[in-house]
Amino acid sequence: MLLSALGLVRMPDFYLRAQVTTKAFTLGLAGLMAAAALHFASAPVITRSLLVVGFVFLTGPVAMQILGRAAYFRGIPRWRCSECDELRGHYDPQTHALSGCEAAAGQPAPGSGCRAPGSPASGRDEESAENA
Amino acid sequence: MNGELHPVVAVAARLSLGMLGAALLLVLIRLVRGPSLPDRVVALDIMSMLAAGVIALTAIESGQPVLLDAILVLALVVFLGTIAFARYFERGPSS
Repeated sequence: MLLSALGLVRMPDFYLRAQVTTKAFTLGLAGLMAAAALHFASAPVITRSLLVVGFVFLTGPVAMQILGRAAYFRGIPRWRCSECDELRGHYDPQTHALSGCEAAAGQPAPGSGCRAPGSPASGRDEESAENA
Repeated sequence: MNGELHPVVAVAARLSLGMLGAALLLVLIRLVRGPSLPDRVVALDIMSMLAAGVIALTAIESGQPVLLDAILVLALVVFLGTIAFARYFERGPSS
């Protein structure tokens, strides 16, 4: 849990922060609940601990994903060194729906700074730091 | 339920409480500094989960397993709050 808090402070970007904290944090909380379950060693406590762990496992990443999506739409800036914006050009600006198959799935939209899968890595230093 | 904690458990619980306290301070830094609003929401989410961890440790130390129910409720409420905030934030203030 301390690691996840450390990650929260150190990560230079919002998206990185959200991703790091959920992973480490869920594991830390699972460890704590396991400790409580082992300490009490009675059936109701164990079931409650399992419930809490299951719930956090299910809801934590979901909440972070929704938050990340919202931040992406509101234009929270990414880290200046992250190059590839894979989602650019694939989202409809009004309804925020992901246009799937008809948008040439797998091919990055122009201007997003991604290289198409299979093409050699061009040493581009121009970064797509501008965001939607 | 025996009254006294095993000494290893007691030391481990104290150490964990200390670590959780340090983590809370770190997250507080992010809460204050965080350059954008979702940063602060993430910080609040983590803070409440850290509080849940403190509740769990208190439950171990005091021998009251009923406190574990509070963790479930806390996790529920925080999750709902985060989701509600994210939905509102995505659509913008014009709702």
